[in-house]
Amino acid sequence: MKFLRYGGPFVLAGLFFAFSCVGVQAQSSLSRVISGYVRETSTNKPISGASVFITETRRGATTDRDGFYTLTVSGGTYTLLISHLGYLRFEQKVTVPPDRNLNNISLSPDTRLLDEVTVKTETQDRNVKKVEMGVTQLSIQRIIKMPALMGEVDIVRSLLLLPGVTTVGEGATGINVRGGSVDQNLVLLDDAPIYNSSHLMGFFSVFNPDAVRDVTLQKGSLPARYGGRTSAVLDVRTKEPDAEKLRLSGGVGLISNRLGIEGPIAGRKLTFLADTRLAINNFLFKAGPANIRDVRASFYDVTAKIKYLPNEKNTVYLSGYVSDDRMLLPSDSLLSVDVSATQTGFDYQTANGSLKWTHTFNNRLILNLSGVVSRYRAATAVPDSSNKFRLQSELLSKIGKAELNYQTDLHHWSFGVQATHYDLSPNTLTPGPVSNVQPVDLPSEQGLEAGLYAEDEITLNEKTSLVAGLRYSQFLFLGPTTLRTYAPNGPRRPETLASEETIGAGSVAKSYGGLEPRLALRWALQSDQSLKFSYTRTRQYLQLITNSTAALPTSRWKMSDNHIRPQIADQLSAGYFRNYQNDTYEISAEVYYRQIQHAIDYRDGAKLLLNPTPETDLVQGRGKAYGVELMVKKNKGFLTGWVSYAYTRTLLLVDGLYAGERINNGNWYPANYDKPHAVNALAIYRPSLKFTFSANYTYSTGRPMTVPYAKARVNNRVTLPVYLDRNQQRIPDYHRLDISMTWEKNPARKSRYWYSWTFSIYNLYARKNAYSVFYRFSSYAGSDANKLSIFGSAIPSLTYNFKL
Amino acid sequence: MKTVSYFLCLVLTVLLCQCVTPINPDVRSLPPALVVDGLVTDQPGKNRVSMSFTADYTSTSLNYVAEKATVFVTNNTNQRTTFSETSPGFYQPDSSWRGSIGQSYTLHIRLSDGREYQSKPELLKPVAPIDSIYIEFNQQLKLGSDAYDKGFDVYLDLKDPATPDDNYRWSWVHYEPLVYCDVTRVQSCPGCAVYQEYGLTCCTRCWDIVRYQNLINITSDNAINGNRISRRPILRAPFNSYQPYYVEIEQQSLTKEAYTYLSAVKDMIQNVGGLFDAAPATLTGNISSVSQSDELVLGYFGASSMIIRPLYIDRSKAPVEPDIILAPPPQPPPTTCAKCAENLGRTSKAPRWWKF
Repeated sequence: MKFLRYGGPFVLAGLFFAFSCVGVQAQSSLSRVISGYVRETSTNKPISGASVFITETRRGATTDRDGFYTLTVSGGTYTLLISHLGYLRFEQKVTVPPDRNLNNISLSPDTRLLDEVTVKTETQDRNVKKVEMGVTQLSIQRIIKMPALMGEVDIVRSLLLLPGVTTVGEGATGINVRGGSVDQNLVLLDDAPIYNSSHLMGFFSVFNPDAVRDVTLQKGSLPARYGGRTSAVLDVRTKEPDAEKLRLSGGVGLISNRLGIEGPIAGRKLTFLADTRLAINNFLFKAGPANIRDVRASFYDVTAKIKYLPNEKNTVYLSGYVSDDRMLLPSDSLLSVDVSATQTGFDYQTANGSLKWTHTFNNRLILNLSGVVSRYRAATAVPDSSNKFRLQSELLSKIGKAELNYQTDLHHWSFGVQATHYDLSPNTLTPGPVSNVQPVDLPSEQGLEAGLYAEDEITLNEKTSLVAGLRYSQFLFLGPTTLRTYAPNGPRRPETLASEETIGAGSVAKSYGGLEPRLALRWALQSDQSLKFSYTRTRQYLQLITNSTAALPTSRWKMSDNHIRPQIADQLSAGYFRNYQNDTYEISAEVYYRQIQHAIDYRDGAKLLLNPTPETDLVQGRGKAYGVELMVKKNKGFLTGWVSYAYTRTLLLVDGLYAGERINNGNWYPANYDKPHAVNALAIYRPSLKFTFSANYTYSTGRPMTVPYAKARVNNRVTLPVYLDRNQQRIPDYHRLDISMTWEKNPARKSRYWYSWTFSIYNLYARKNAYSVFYRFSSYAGSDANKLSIFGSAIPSLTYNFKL
Repeated sequence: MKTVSYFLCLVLTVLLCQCVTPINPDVRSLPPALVVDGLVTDQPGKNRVSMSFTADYTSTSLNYVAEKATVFVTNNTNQRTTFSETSPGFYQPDSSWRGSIGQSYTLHIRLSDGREYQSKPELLKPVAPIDSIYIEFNQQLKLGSDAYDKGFDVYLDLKDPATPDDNYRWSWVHYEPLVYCDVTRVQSCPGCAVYQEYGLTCCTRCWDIVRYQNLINITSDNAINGNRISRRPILRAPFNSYQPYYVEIEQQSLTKEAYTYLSAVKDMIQNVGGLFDAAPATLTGNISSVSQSDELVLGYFGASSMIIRPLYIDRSKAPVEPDIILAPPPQPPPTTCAKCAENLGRTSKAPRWWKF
């Protein structure tokens, strides 16, 4: 029946391909092509990562992100075996010639017990078979099963269970991947950049789990299409809208409430989805202890997508994302502006829109065009009338991308061009109507980052394959701006300013650029084990500058200019991958070494907010990061999960000519996020269709801190700690156990309404993990080193989810 | 700064927030380094230099003071004013001496072991006058109790001059008149371990001196240059009596360098360990060793113009009852009196604007 449905287009397409591909086909007249889309039967969603295997030749292929696969065979009759976890296996007899260019396959979801347990989007042997390295893909099904803090399924938090991924503390914004800082990760939601991935300062991530299909974290070999960040790429993809019928889903939790709708607008061709999340927690604060009764916090986000599929050859996606966080804190707690205030407001918003068009010329040539507009805005405000003001920063980026993919038997080429225009207003201070505060508008910064790349994935033989890519990136720091020059024989300080030069609009004030080679090599020792090597060079032209341990959502972004040089990172990595017992178990071991040029840090006592000359408070030096990551994973059975260990170091060296431009007296020192040892374990046990139990354990070395050498009394009574170096000691180690239990309605019982209850306990044994250690002299306390813990007790939560 | 306590509990208000616990990390040590705290003003009696040495951080003892040093300041014309030691480690010039606006002062120190130190020259800048001072009664529930914290908040307004880089510092001195200068303990019954305390009245008039020194109240005119600084909180006088509360409010000018130094000190004092607090940094003052430029010397020598404004807070018209502090009963006859000790915290000299 499926064959009949696509029979018509198939013949037409076949004819078209026969003409259009003559040039290509002529070279290997004996080889024939079998290609098409693999989709889910009921929803028509593409299935990426499905395996298509020819039993006769023992060769196969994996479907790409759009569910597309290509196989090249010589003439004959073959048995195709299409399989994917969570779906029933599908067998098909195919005879070529003629070429089967749109041999589409539909897989039915497997509702049987075992496969339900092991639902994931990647194929089991991906880690051994693919050339890429240091890539982790997590499907939302697996993320949902992990224990969640306060019942909020959190994509970014779940990544923290992977080796090499850490955070400086609970409630800190963003993640640190392989010893990179938070701003060294490129975070993409459907191709649009996310500059702040956290809600409520840093407790929850901005991605609505209901709207997400999968999450890919690339920390090793970066494909040439990614650039602009030196550490890692977190690529979050939203799910495909349901094409069959209108569906409603949602959930009620302690923190946020979710509601989503998806379905067809006009037949299967035009479908949409919209998922919203809303958290209004004021009632919680009002019920809380007196010191937080005046806190107000709320957030919402909306993820929306429209998919237009006019025919098999064209797909158009229109995606939008909006997120908004608002907080009101008593006193001038977060203020860095010199006025007194009774309350401080704090808000930040992300608004992204993207349009993407995928055109398939033929089974070998695919074109992707996309345009993205992204705006991130953060503000601090004081509502008191005489001192009323709003201090706002805004980063507006406009991105255009074009990518061409061309696939032959042994090659998979991709070519692309990307351009990003940044418009950054670092700080704008707007006073209220009767306010005494003076307006400040730091000049905006404009920049254009362009990238051009070519990459080829080459299968040299059965055992060896490689990805060779080259990216050229160029950054133009554009006018209007003022280029400042400082006295050559002195430190770069406001008082040594020598001259200023005004650059007009549109002209280039400073330009940086260079080649970024990317190489990945895979050598299969046997069918179930492989060795991989990779080399990646990346350049970063936009960074977050802050003088606190963790970046605030209102921290300042800064482009490279005539003083701040772009960061350049070179990463070498190698790994060994092996699967056992039909991919039930997989083990992996990876090592990496990364060297960073022009690593950026702040001077002692730096003030970066509202600073018209931020370069006078910033210093650059060298950095190195290295580590080992080991992981054992179980993919099948009632019990799944993994255990991982990572050794991760990040060291910085800032040794300027002048005393103030040296950190730690010009010696290597650990970065704020350097946490050498980390052990993570995750277990998901699903003995029946209705019940899932999961637990995770995490351990990591405490992050570095600065310890005073002595105390001094100044001003007659004030006792001050004397600090001489930076980050030479550590806060106590971190460890935590979480558990979660989910009861869901038996999916075997046919009915429209599905629901589940999730009960979880975060920090089960109530460890008071140190968030930080600080020194404050108090005459009445015996000790003046204090440990601050955020979650000092076990935190239970209950969440209800439903689908209609 | 309460930031972190808000964040701690941001999401989890229902749960415990007793999250700060003392710990004992490794001890590091450093040979004692000189700490200098000096100030020259244009007011007589408000000039001082105190010197001490750093102590190990975990050491519970007080700082070691630097005694028997030779201390003097010089001005633009190299005129020398000697500061002599009035109490251990505390050096003051002649009580009538004062600095003058527009002069730059440099501090010179020779320790008893011969080591010499010198400050960078510090300009004594003028300070804008205080516009108005006002008082508001305010009571708040004390955390975790149903008792009120009652007090009078004092605010200050001033007009900032149009010039940039005007920096301000506020402090205050309160004089609390005393009835009892000491207490005596008498056994309630012969041979038993129960004692009765009696207050000993002062032989002369006597005041306790309470200074604002634990916190640093500073601001710059960066955000408001040329406009008014309004509702600047100065102090909170406790409501524990109907007696007027006498306080002298001091407003000082600061150089840009002194402001930068003091705001770093302030950051350090207020650091409560949040990830969003400024990270600890090495404090760089303006004093260095004459012979060894790399020797660690801490502290700052500042020069300020100072305005002193006396203030009587009338506490008799508050809408509620004061929190009376109970004093012991007076000594039964025959009475003796206690001498009013003369030191930094107590004096028998009436404050300058005392009028009762």
